[in-house]
Amino acid sequence: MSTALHKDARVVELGRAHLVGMKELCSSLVYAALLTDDGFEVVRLTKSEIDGGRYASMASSMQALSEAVARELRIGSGEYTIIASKSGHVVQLRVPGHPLVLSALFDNDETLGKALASSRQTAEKIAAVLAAAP
Amino acid sequence: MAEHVILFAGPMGAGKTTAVQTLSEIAVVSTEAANTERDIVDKPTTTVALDYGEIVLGDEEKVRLYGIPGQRRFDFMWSILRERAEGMILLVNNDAPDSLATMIEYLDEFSELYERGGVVIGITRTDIVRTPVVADYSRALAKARPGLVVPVLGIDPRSAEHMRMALMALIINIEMRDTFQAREAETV
Amino acid sequence: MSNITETLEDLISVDGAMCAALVDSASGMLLGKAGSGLDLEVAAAGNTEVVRAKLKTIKALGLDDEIEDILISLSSQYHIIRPLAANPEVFLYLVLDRAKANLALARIKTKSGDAQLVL
Repeated sequence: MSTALHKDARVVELGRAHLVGMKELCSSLVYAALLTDDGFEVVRLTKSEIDGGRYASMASSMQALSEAVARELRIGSGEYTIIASKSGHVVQLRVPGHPLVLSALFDNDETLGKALASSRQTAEKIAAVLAAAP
Repeated sequence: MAEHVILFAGPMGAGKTTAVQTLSEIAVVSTEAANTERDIVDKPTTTVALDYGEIVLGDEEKVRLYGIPGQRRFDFMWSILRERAEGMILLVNNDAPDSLATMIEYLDEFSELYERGGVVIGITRTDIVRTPVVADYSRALAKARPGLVVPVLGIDPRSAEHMRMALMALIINIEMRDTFQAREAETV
Repeated sequence: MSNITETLEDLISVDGAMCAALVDSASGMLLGKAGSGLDLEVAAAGNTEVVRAKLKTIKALGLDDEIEDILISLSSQYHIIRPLAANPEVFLYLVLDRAKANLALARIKTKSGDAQLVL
């Protein structure tokens, strides 16, 4: 792949479409971003108070640390990274087979199960589209 | 056993991850991701959170080694890791654009470490480009931060000998300061 | 835990059953599952919202009452949701192929599954 994913207009567009789809399925979604492994934002669903660039760097650090812990404990490859806080959950997971991470913030209006299920489905759909037409 | 916490700082591509791997006696905990900025620094991976390693020097000193990610966009990690460290080995690659200014920039970024503990500066990749030379860095440092006494060495982060030497220089630096400060406290 | 698996396996033995799950509605997550045919994790989370919405409505209507079961007819499937009598925060979920299933029988089977479960 010659173009970095975050600079590839096709990836940005399909990422955006899937994030919008995720919001439609999950009303508790507050913020979502697709980012590269090394912390560049591909696309996000806008929420003006969040510094998207900074958040993408932080999410990539968190992903790398989670994966390092899973390796260290030998519990297999990561599924989700979850930060559960008082007013919301951050759910994060790798887009399977790609150097991309989906990171999403949900409020408490719906359950954690909903957050996990919609994040997983969205990540799988993105992976499928990328695999079908590289 | 005395325990020390040392940070490896410096720009992307200076050799921080390599330095930690060279020194560490345990398998290094690393957080490498595929680098999408090959046009800026041409290496396949880059550290996105931290490197962690450990080494025991002699019988007595256990040293925890933390490597930071070089890019400024990870400066939240710098804040987190800076707080834990007593001292720092600042690595600057000689082939970096404007490496003299970069050295000052990172030194300032981590100024509390030279105030609190100690700093050793290592110039890497002097085999790739011949200039500037180590003396140029010492001069630039003296000019920009007069009164700051910091060893500046040419080192190869792949060399265990170089890295141990730099680390020992730093530990001695830290311990001398501790002794000096303790003595000062006594005489008051 | 083996009681959950046993109960769910037994539940899907009814005519036309495709899959079943036991769901914790506080988290929207699965406590157990059996069979296949749809994404049970998604179903667990989604149906939790259905149960919550219904409970809210009941409360808003001022009804001092409980949900015994919820029956949903799709054009090709039946879905049965049954909060456990002993523990209404947890519900049983059964998915049936409409062409092959007997809804009345499935309902009875679900009710007895509820009675069987030891959490």
